[in-house]
Amino acid sequence: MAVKDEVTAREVGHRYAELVCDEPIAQRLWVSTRRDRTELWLVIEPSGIEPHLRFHEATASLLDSFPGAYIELHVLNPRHYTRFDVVEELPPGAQEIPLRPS
Amino acid sequence: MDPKTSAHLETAARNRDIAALVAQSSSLDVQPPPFEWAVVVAFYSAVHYVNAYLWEKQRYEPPDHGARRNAVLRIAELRVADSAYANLRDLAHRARYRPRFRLPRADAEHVLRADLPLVERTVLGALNASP
Repeated sequence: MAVKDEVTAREVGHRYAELVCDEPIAQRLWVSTRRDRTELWLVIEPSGIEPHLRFHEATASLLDSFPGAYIELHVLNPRHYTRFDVVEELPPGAQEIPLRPS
Repeated sequence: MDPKTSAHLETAARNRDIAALVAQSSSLDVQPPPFEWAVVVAFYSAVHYVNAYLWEKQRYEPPDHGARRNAVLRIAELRVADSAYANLRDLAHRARYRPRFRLPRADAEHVLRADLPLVERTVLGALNASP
């Protein structure tokens, strides 16, 4: 099953936000759709690469809520860029999902 | 073991060794050193490990990266390595396509020390094969 519509993609984003909101280095989250997949774009504080795995593990648990969905996570770590500009890294139309209640 | 499975495993090990060489490439005349390419090669080692499993167990050749990642995620024997595989794929994609992406040596070494070996161990264990 592909997650095609924007509403469902946003639902995926909100569910993912619930899963990672307690991670202190998680800063901002966007969601976008491309062909048959939902893409998550997570900006984290500059850090070593070890925490990346925890964020990828969280996507696997999304399968319980969205069985059959194809969800791809991109961890954007400013440490890995010569100059980091989040706007350059996001695809057109990406929608921001609040990571934490404001 | 099927000959095509063996060929995938041989290429996976070859790419793993090439990745290690690139990660030690500070003597190359490229600044900063191309540590992100160690992760690209490491990812293509992981691809061949997964292909070896899928061919040996299911006679399945995934048509693209998405289908392969889905297989890793949904096959119980492979799922333990899913996060490592997804991290390799994410970093390798960024290294190939994002112009400002550069990976520090420590991060490339971590991926080669932790993520790729997890994929390798998972596949070799499932196939009862040795490194």
